[in-house]
Amino acid sequence: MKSKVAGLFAVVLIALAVLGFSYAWWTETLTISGTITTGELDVAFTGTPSKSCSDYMTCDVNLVDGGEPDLPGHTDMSKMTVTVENAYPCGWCNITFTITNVGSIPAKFTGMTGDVPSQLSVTLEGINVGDTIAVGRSKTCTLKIHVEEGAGESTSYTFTLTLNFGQFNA
Amino acid sequence: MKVSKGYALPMLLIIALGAIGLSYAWWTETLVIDPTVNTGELKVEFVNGQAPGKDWNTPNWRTYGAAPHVIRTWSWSPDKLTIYITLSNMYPRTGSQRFAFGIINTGTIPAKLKDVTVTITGDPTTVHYIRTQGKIEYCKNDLTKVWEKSFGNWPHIDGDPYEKDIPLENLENTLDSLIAGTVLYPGWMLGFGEDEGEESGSLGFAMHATAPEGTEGQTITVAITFTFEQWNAP
Repeated sequence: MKSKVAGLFAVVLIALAVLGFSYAWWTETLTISGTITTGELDVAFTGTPSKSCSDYMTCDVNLVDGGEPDLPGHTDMSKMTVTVENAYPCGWCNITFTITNVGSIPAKFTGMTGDVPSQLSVTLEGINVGDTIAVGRSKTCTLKIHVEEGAGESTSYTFTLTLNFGQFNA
Repeated sequence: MKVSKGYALPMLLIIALGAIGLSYAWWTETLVIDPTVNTGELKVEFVNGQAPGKDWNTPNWRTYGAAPHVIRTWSWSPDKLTIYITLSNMYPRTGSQRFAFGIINTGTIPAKLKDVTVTITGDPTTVHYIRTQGKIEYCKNDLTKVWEKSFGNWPHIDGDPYEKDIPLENLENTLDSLIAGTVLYPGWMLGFGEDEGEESGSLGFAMHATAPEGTEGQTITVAITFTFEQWNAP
């Protein structure tokens, strides 16, 4: 019996010794802490648009904040309202305006979409699909509105044009 | 390698989601332009009391010289672009039956007189012996006269020869050659008449002294239409 107790004690000692040997290893860690801040794709109408019309027609242009999210401290004009009065067939109005890249990455123009009535024709000059506006740079564009034959007298035509931009590397 | 159906479906789903995720990853930005185009109005009317100070504001007859017993009426179309004139009981050597009126641009854009159409109803011989004369004024909206043009034996003085007057059947060509192409700016007028006492009224009708007996008892109706178009029409 005594010999059995002595054997068990010896096994426990050996086990504890082994454990004690394992705990004796030192450890050390290196930590990498990273922060990634994304950029912003943002373009806006800037400056004061100019306009010219054919005789007897008038045009009023205003830039407003279209509600797009802006960088802190900025109010970007992302919407332009145009009101043409006393229009007639073959009459025209040209609105020249500036688009500026107010974001932090280049913006690429991907096209203009809109629901233009058949009694009008609209063209955009000064920028082409695929053109890239670098950060802080601008493009001067001209929107040309032409009244076609068949436009009704004392009639109001309202439509919306959207200028679409994407990442430069899209 | 053979892929079981149990693995194929989840794999396709993962690939599709990956593709969608890739598309959504590109950022986009838009600028919006909201145009409204309001058109104007092309409108020209016979003057109806819209220009104080001129007798021809309201179309009406005047008589210069002796012309008793002549029966004359006038009316205009609902669009006020055609005037109907009726002359009856005319006789040789009537004084000038003068009809005074004006045409005003009441629209918002300039209007160009494309042409004048004169439609005559009645006995052709009688028509030939009806002679016309007149004067036309072209005025700005403040009534400042830009030019005036007369035709026929104007002013038709009682007893003057009628040879210089224009036969009624030639009235259309005469008016066309004188005023077609005239541009009426908003508020501007063409006045067939002037407030000058007995000489006022400018579209005159008289019967030639040599009108034969066959012209007795005839009634002549004249419809004059002024057609305007946009001033910049090709």
